[in-house]
Amino acid sequence: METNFFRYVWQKSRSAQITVLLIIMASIPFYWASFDVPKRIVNDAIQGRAFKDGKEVATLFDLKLHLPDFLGGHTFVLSDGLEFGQIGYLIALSCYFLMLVLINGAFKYTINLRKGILGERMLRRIRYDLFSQLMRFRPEDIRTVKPAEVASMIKDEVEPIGGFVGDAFIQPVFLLTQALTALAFIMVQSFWLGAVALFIVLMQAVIIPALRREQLRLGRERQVASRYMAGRIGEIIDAALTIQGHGTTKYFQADIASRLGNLFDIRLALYKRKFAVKFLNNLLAQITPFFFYAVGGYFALRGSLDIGQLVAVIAAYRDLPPPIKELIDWDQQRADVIVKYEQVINQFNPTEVLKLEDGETPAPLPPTGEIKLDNLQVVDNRGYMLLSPLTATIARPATVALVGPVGSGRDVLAQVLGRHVTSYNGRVTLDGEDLATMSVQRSSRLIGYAGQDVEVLQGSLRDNVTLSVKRKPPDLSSDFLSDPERQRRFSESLRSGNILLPFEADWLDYESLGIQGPAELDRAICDILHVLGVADDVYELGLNGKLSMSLDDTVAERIIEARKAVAAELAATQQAGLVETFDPNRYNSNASIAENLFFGTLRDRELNNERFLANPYALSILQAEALIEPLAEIGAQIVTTLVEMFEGLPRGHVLFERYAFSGSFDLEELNELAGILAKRDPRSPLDPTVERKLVTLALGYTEPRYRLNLVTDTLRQRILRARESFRTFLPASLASNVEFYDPERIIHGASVRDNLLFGRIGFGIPDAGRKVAAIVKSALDRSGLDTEIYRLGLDTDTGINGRYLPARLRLAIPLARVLIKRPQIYLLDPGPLLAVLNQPAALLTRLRKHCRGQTLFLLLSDDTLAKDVDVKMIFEGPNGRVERQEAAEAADRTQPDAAAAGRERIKATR
Amino acid sequence: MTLESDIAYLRTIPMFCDVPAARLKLVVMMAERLRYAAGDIIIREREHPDAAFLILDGEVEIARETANEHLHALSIMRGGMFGDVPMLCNSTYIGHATAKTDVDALRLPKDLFIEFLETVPEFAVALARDLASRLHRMAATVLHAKAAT
Repeated sequence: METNFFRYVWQKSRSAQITVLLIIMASIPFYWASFDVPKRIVNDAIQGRAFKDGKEVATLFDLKLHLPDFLGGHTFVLSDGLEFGQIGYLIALSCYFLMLVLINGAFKYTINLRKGILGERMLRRIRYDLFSQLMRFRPEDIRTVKPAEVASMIKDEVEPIGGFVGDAFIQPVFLLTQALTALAFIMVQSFWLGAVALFIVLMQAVIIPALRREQLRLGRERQVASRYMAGRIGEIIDAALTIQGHGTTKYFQADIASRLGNLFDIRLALYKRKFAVKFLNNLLAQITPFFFYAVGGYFALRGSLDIGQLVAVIAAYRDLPPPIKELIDWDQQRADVIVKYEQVINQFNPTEVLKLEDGETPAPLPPTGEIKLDNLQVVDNRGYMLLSPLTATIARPATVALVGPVGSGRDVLAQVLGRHVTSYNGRVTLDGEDLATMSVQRSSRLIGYAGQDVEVLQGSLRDNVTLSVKRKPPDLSSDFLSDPERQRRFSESLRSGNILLPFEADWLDYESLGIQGPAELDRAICDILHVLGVADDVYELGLNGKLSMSLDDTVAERIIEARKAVAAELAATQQAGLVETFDPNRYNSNASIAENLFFGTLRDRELNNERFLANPYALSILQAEALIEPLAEIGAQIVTTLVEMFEGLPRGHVLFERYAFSGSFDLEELNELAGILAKRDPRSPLDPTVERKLVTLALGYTEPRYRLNLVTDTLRQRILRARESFRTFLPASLASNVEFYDPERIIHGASVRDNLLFGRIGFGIPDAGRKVAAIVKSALDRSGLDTEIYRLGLDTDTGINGRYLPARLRLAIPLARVLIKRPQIYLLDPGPLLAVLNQPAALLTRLRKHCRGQTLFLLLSDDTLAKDVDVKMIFEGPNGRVERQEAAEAADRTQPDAAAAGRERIKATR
Repeated sequence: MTLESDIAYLRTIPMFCDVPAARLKLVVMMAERLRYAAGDIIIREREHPDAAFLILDGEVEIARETANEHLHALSIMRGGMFGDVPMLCNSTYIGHATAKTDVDALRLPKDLFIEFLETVPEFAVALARDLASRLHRMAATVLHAKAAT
């Protein structure tokens, strides 16, 4: 990137800068006129010069164009003007002045706005350029980058630079034109007054920055001196006992005194400067009017300057110092920003960058060929050998096992081939083409590398798996740009030099996935996940997936059907009460009180007890059914029981957290509540906040789970009645958000599993979860909802670094990314996944089957899993050797494919 | 069937008679109360234990499966605990546990059980006492059998 800030800004925003500069030029005449009009108001209108010879009316706004004599000296009358009496004349001129003020304001507004937009666009461009530059870093450089530092550079440090971009050229020009216009105006009125003003302004412009520079230097000096003094004091205090013991305290007192003296001198000089600058500033500001009054007044008396001019000069002078001051500020800011810019840019200008693209879609390699390692050696920057020189030729296609411990040369070799390491000695060639000079675009199509690291980006599981195939720039068809909003964003991107392709479009390279389009995507992903043996985990996630409003009607129907099948199945099992189904007319004892009251869900988020209570409508229903008091009573009993249970336990909180009664209460809070309850006078009503907390607790209560025997039959009846009135009187504002349980309808926002069960699993039944899962699974198998469940599973949000995903699925993601993009050379480290799978050998078999016909490098930690591979490379530490398998020959006879034939040509030298 | 009645019952058995009511409440409330029908298999031989069980009502038979039929069945009555021994010494269940009658039991999952041992000293003491008495009875049986032969 361009290292000179001003050059960078000018290159990237020339036209916008020029436009604003032109606007500034256009504003000058109006600015000038706003100085000129007051003069006319005073002279012509107030002093009546326009009405001098007893004229009743005077003409205003007449416009005549005089041609110079050499063009014929004609006069064209453009406008005859308007005639006014003296008062009218005054008013008209004043209005004219007001209009000029407004026009100048409008100019200022436009200039500032354009400047701001320009700054924002440049900020966007700088950030984008920095980010793009980062994407071109070599792997080695990326590893040395501190993510937080770079992120804060792109986010924060660049911001003041962007802010200054708008000012870089425009501000000095704008301020200078203002200052010069005012100065020129004064000059025109009276040369001498102008000369005085110019002289004073120049003094300001020269002396003040010089004084300030000295001030800054002194400030830095003060900082350094006081830092040293603090260090010295600390040091002396550490050694204070020694000093006292030797009786040399006076010596050290003198030491500190002399430092204090130096500090005093610096501070004194600083103060002197500071007040000198202030004094000078004030003096210059005050002395000019003195000259204006004295000299201007003198000229006025002499008649060479009229009163109007004098007034106008003083008014114009008012506009002179602020621009000068701002110019000085601008200069300081400039120095600051240039340093900042250089600092940031230096971080983003490594000596070497990667070639990202060739410009054309890379051609695939021919089906057979060879991978050649020629004296390949990797040494880290401290000279430590990571991979000893290795020479080998591997005929493609082949299956190669790289066997060795984690961190040995096998990982380094895979990283070199996968281009995670680019600084190596020797050569790696694919069919004679040097890997080092290949563009990222080409190598990423040919080679797929999945190492030990698992990076999961936030988003859906689907997005994470298909990350590797989001490489086809979307077509910008004409109807894409027909939307005005999209068009606006498009042109804005263009202006900021950002990439023009919209992020929201479909970037998937379906062709390389081997499928027709989006409809087949989930199928393709699931096939890959089956190969990796983790498809069941996705299915499980799908069962837990929440059903959204945008659910397809036929799917909804099938879920309802499956729900009925589940109900039938449940009825058929002998186990009564395995699931207690939701019934609008019955109290569901396995559900919480809140759920029984509400008997439904919220569409936009999950229902919880506090939220339930926070709703004034829900609260009013509770009050109307006189439920507040009994619920508070239940809450009070819960508090008493819990506090009694956990009292005096050394590690009570650990158990308490397990005891998921109410997630929002902690032990301290409960103890506090218990204290309030113990002191309470039974006759007086409870404090409303306490009462509310108790009711919140009670709402989470489920009788069979906690068995405190608190829910009586009468309470059930009343809750059922409240449920009824809650539904009947539901206000329209809530109705769109609330969904009541209905056996014939989907519960949106609830999981598939909950939708199928349509009830709560009974407490107290052994193995209930497992039994129910089996029933649900069989019902789903028959309903043909598999695709939908997988779809929901793939929709699962991965969370930060995949924390919402089951471990196996998370570990499978890097491998899935490689498998789905179908490269010609697979470099897979299945180690982490193998460790958590039940049948590791089967995974390898499936992987090899999937990669048949292509080249597969498998990183393994021992060769028991790699008995019949074509080539083995055995690594111990950085040393590797190539081994031809005896067993491979046996395989040759049964499988005379290209891979086997290629095997004969493998040579290895070390 | 309520918490209070369970606690009242537990207080009558020797293992828990010294445990304060509040702690007993904690144990009962944190455990799962399960109901098995007669004939239900509660735990299976050779499985890794994931919980210990305390019988509140009914009778459980522990038997080892052999080729023909089970010999040496061991009955555990109301108030008895099972599954805790293999869980504590990290081995597998040595036999099937079947509900002989309808059984009400408290299930203490492994992690909760360990948590109790660490957090509730009274529970740890009660368990140690119960284990010791079981050991004592077993030793007596073995010695008795020896003496008989």
